[in-house]
Amino acid sequence: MTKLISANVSRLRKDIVFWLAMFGMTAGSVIFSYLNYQTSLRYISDPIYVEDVLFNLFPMIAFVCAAFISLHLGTEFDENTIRNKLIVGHTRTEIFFANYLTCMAASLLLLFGILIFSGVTGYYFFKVFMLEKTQLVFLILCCILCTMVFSAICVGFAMNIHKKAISVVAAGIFMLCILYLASYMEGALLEAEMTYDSVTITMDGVQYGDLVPNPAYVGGTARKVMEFIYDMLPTGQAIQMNNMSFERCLRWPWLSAVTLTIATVLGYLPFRRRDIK
Amino acid sequence: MDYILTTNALGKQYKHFKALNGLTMHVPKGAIYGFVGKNGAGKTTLIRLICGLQEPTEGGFTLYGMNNTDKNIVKARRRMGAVVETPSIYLDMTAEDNLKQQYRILGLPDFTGIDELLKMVGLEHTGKKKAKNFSLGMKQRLGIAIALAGDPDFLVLDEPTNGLDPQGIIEMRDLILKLNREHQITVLISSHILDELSRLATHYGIIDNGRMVKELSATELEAACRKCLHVEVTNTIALARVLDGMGLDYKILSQTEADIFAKVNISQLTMALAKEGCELIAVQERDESLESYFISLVGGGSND
Repeated sequence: MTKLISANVSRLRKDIVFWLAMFGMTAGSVIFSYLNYQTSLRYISDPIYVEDVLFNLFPMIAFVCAAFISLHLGTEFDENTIRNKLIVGHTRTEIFFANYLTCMAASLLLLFGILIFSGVTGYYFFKVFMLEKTQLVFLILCCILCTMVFSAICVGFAMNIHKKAISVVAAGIFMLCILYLASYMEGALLEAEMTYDSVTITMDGVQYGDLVPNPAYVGGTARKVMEFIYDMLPTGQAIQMNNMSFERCLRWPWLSAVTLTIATVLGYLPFRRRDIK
Repeated sequence: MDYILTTNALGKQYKHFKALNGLTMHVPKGAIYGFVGKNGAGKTTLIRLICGLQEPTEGGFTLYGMNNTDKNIVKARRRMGAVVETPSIYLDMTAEDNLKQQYRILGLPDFTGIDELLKMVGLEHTGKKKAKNFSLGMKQRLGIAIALAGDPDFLVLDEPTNGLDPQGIIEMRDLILKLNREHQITVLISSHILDELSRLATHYGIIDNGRMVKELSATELEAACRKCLHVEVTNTIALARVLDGMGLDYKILSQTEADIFAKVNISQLTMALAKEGCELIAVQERDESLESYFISLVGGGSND
């Protein structure tokens, strides 16, 4: 498999899509930090921390992975070069995992690009960290695991949908769906348990009615299940990091490990049996 | 006889369509094996199976004596190279970079031999030109160079002359002959351009509807293809009387043309015809080609 990884890395180094993604993500990190800084100067009195910008672009990595991995691996199918690997005796397992590891490494490089550039510019503008060093390291580890999950999902799509264009769209739509699902769950979980039965605005100000149970509130077992799914979804973790919401972060790593395993198995098993033209 | 590849009742089914139906074939070592069949006969399917791109649904094959179900079949595949349908090349890379990439896939320690390979296929002057800007013939030759990168002794070529211009076809034929004669590479070449194949092949396998119709050597084919004498006369009724008298096999084509399937003494024939008041206008020796032999075996029409 090392031969295949060596060949993949060599191709990755020349892949213009990868370098465009890297440039886009790092430039985006710098621009985003600067815009935050400008906003903080004008409107915000509360202090802004480095972490506020550090994880801000993180959810974007799902879509960047979807585009880059589908295009990078899709080339192997569009130009039929995957045959050159099979014909000379590499097994499908070797090919799958060589691509899997290469794309994972590339996705992590993109992540480090975001973290380093966001971190450096964030520190330059805001100077103060909110979290302890160990907490920060833990969250970066969560980001790494989450990125590995995104990458595994995209590799699964790219290795099983043998048309580059369809693979890009399918992976992008899937990411959009799990992002939407995570956003919906975030909204549902943020609903207050009690709410006012009426709110009246008069000349004297806002008049609140009686506190009543909120029908939109998700409670009991349903809440626990929803929280579990929300935390399990890589997009759910990304949204929580983006919102600096770390209440249940201790379970993120093992949930990511489970999702990573599922995504890998679901990507690998069909590829092992699929006919290649 | 040593066989590089043998298939045993090989079958491949795609949903409700049987692309290969109990195909049995034998590719002898050192041969140029012409694999002949109509479009959709199953030629490419067989090549995909032996290259490991797809798995058979019935039967099996052996490559260098290794069964396809044996885990070590991958080792046998390291001794083969193939170009299946379109050449498998990275369009955004130069010819040299494509070969370097294949060297890495093969795990070769260095890039020694790339210049020779490029020279062998006539792509040594392509420099920094990317493969996407190559002509079809150049792409085909680069595909062959990639297939040759691992120094294989079995080369599988699927319709290598498809879309090539006449010059490209001649170059491709010369290259295949060179590889077979000078490098002792066994070649399995599928084609439906029978005339082209007949200039190369030492053995033939004729396939139709996923089944092997006939396997034979070039010598056997030559014997099977009847030579005939195409004659033009003023009156074929008189000609028929003369040929019946001589006890020869013939076929009347029109009022003035006929084919005689025998060695004929032209002087005797001319004199016999003169006695019947018939003149011999023209005589032409014709071979029954691979094409007509193929048609006689599988009939006309298409599988598409």
